[in-house]
Amino acid sequence: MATMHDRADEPARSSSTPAVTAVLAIDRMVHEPARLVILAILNGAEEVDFRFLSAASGLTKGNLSRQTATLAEVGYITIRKYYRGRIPATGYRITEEGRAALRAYWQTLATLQQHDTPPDAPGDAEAQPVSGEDTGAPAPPRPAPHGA
Amino acid sequence: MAEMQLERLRAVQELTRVYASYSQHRSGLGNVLGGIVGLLAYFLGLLSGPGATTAAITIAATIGWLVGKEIIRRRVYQAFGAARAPWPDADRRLQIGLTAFLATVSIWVLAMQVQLGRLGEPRYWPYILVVAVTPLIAWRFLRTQSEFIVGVFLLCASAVTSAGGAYSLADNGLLYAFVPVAAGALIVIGLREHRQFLALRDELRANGVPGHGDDA
Repeated sequence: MATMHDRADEPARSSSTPAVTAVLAIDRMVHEPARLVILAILNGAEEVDFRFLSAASGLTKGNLSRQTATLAEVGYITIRKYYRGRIPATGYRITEEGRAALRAYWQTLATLQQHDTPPDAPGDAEAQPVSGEDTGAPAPPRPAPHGA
Repeated sequence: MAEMQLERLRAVQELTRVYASYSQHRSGLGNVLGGIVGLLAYFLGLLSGPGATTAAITIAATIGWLVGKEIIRRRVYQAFGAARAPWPDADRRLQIGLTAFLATVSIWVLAMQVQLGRLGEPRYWPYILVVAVTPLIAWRFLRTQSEFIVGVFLLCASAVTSAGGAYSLADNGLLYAFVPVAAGALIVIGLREHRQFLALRDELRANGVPGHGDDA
């Protein structure tokens, strides 16, 4: 389940380098920054409420609600509605699937760091707009970096 | 870039882990209060001996600490919302072991009271009640070793003073001399935890979200 969300096209993997494979293997459900922060926070506790999640993430309430709902839909977190005294509260927990997805994501990032090459310098041929990008036409495939 | 992102993620995860730890095994000012109450009860019993004043102060201070540290936990240490820490298996087993030991002692003491025919004497009822609830209180409220030592001593002192006794110098000498040591440790630990929390609070405030009492 953790490896099934919004991956890049599978056929590209057969001829790609490990670094490219790692990029293609990134779980986009986790990769989105707001969801990544939410998962990282939930990974540090057994359960947190909405207020703390908002305080620790710095996300707006609307964005937080939307992202947690998305994460709950795919089974990465669970949401529990309850009452603290008479005040309604919402608790969030990361699931085992969520932990596994986060762990896999971090491993992917670590793999990418191992294959780290400096970003294209300004003026590099590859940094220039590729013909077709301006027109909206598909750009030709770029070669994978050597030694990656 | 990935490294920076990883660092930020680790930082926010660590912030959550430390914040959540104040829901379980860190009490900060609650520990400081426990240490002060522990010292107070110890020296009061030691120097004043038995009496209504000793009993009233010991029992009130014990209840005040148990209630006060939960209020402090909620109002101060969960001021930015609730975050519950996981309870590691090793800690859970230790807590079960300590509580089971305490329950065994309580049952043995209660059996002695039955044997001595004290169930029918109202003046022993507070003593019997405190002995009976001690394991439950220990399970629910005493989550660290220092807290356990001081808390159990306070509960025992409450039970003994309620029955007209005291852990006085004349009766017990320095038998319980470990209590002020544990109480002192609790104060030091509590102050350190509170300082750590203040740093944590500043980090959370930097996100622009007020906690209780910020009135923002």
